[in-house]
Amino acid sequence: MPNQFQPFNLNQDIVTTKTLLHEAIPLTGTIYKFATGSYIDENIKNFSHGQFQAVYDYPYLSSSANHIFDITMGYDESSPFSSSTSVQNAKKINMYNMMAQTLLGYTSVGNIHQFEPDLSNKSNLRPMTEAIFINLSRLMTKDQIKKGTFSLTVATGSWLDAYTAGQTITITDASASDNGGTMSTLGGDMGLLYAPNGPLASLIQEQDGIAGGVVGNIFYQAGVIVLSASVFQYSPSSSYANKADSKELFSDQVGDLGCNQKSIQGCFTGSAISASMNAFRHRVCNIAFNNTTEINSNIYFCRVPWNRYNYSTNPTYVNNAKVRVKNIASDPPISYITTVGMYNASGELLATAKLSEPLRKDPTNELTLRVRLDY
Amino acid sequence: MSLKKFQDKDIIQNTMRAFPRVKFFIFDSVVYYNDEPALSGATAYYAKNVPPGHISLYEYNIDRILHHGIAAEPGNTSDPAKSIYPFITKQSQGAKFSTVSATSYSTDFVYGDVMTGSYPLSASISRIYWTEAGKRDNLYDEEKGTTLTNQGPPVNPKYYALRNRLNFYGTLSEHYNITASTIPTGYDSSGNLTYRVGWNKDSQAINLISIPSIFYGTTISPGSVSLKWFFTGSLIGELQDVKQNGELIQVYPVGSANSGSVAGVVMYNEGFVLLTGSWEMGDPAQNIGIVAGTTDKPRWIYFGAGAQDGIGVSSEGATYLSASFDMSFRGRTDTQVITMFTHAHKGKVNISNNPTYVKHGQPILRTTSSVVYEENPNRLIANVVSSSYHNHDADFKRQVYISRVAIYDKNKKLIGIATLANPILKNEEDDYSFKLKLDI
Repeated sequence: MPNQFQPFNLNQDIVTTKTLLHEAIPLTGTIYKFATGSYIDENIKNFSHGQFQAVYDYPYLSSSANHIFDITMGYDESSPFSSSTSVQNAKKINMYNMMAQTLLGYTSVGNIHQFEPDLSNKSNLRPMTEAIFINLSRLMTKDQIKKGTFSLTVATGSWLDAYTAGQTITITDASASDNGGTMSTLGGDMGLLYAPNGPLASLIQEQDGIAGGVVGNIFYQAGVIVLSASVFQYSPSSSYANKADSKELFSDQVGDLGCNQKSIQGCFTGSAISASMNAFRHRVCNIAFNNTTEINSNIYFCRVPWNRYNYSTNPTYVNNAKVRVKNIASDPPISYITTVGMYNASGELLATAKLSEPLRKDPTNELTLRVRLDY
Repeated sequence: MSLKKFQDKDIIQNTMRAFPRVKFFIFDSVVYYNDEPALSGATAYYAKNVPPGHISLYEYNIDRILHHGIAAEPGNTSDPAKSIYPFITKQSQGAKFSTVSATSYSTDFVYGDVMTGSYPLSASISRIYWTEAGKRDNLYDEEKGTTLTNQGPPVNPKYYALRNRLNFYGTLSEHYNITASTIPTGYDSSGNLTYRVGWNKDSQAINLISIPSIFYGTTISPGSVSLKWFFTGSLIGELQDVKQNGELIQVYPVGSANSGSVAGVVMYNEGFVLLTGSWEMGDPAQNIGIVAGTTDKPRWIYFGAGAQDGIGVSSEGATYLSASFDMSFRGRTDTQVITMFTHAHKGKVNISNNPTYVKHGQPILRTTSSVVYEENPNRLIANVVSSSYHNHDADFKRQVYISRVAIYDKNKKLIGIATLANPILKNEEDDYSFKLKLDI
């Protein structure tokens, strides 16, 4: 218990800061790639409700397994895929609606806002009414995905040799940064996912009328990736030259669980969600992003003036009723500071800060100890 | 939206105390934690990327190749990272990883540079054996040109770091004390005076076993510590802190010459076990390779040989494999828990803001213009009352499904949401209380 306090000057001794800690998160396809991943799908959990598929980084029955993400798919009621004959039709519609209303909310006339390929959400472009959703776990995204760092590498070859060298494309959120390129939505900041310049971007532009090849949305705080199904579609137009020769062109052969080489339309209409997600995972080589954790801190500058704290209340400071560090009465006192106690206005101890090594204090020096409290 | 205020008895704060069981088994220079075998990975050598007996903080990078790619450029696609790692950018706040020294932070990095760390971060028990714990180096006096024997800096600074703390616990048991005098304890049956032999830990051989706090939490639970020495699979000695005062007393073999003797002490709060018992064990005691470079008979000062201390078959020979060790105890974790009771009284909480609460297809607005925005006041609530009969709609009843409880601070800012496992049907006459628990 100190016999004297050194009060803080509230205007200059206490500073609040925010530090951003990041982690680079690569989610390689060796973990979750269909059938050829490390654990032959022991790390993939399907549920009896069949609404989504959970991906772990280790067989999920092990306590060591971390949940990485959930994947599912869905389409709007207005989609041409919506039909009573489609497999899990209601679930796919519900899934799309749930994601859309959670992330985007409602339009001014009370309709669920559809996912759109621009940042105004007032576009006349064709909305993304069929989508694949990747819900990254909080463990991976922490406070949010760092803007401008997301990439999704997808195999574009045929089903059997999807990973043939050179036949991959990388979808990124290249236009987003901490300074712009995003829009604020109900689900937090939203950015756009772009296909790289080349055949796919041209294909998207030709088919959906979207310049720049926007193929999805990314919600940074929610950690949700919305990937338009149209990225997996061949151009039906014969005007698109050399499509058969292009190695960067997506194949329409996505395939289902049984490797039946279904088209993306076939997956949405003729396969269950779990089977379609198996097929989708077969095409994902890599997902990489940097996450962000905001660490809020208070920094307290504890001043030790020259004429204070030169004595100690430690019992070992005196020996036979004499100050141990003095040989004669006129010797200057010396103390060693090991701990800073921080008290509230009522003199109650709130926290202590320990020094890694004691600091010598005598009347010839002044110290400022920087105490940092993270929370 | 109306808010309900917590009343005095609605919020309870308490501490949940748990006593996790911890067991280490040491054999063939491998430490096994809680009997967990060494799991091989499909990609990495160990599935958890840490050796057996280690805890992996966060358990990141399970069975992955540890590769940071171009570490200074996270997200670089030309050499992408294959494993998770943290990084931080040097900014004015002065934040850094503890692995970056103050000097390195100032000289090796400029503002904007990226400092990287690595995962997994791991911890395990470790053992140090000191033949003379308090030994000091010689000191050379340059003025006189003489060597001052045993007056230099400590050879074992870790021991000196513990000396004060050991003396501090001297009030708990005298066996913590660094020094103790030989004192008479009474007379034996032959009428001879018996003594408790004194000691000076500075000159003793000490076996220090360090236990990181991640294994036990706040403190090791007194009375729960057990150390077992096995020779060729047979138990030849066991220590327990039966008095709960830190003394490790031999309890097995029962009735043996050293039964009841104190072989060491436990520092419960700091997570250290210090063993000084140097009597032979086994019937008969046999030499084994357990001391660095030589052989000796089983003694407590050799307990735990092989736990990250360099002792192993390669250095000590095959007889080392005769020894195996078991150390078990209970930790103690204190978790502050805040419990909140939220109430949905009858006649209250009976309307939802969910858009599906009203009938589908009704116009939201009655009038809207540049000066007027008027919602449709005649919208009907959807009747979701379940009917027991086919093709029959039950009569309308006012009911909602409660799916989550939101908690706001005094400034009406949302600070937490509790989601129910299943939505609860609430009719107007129902009275519900929800119990929310938050570990902090």
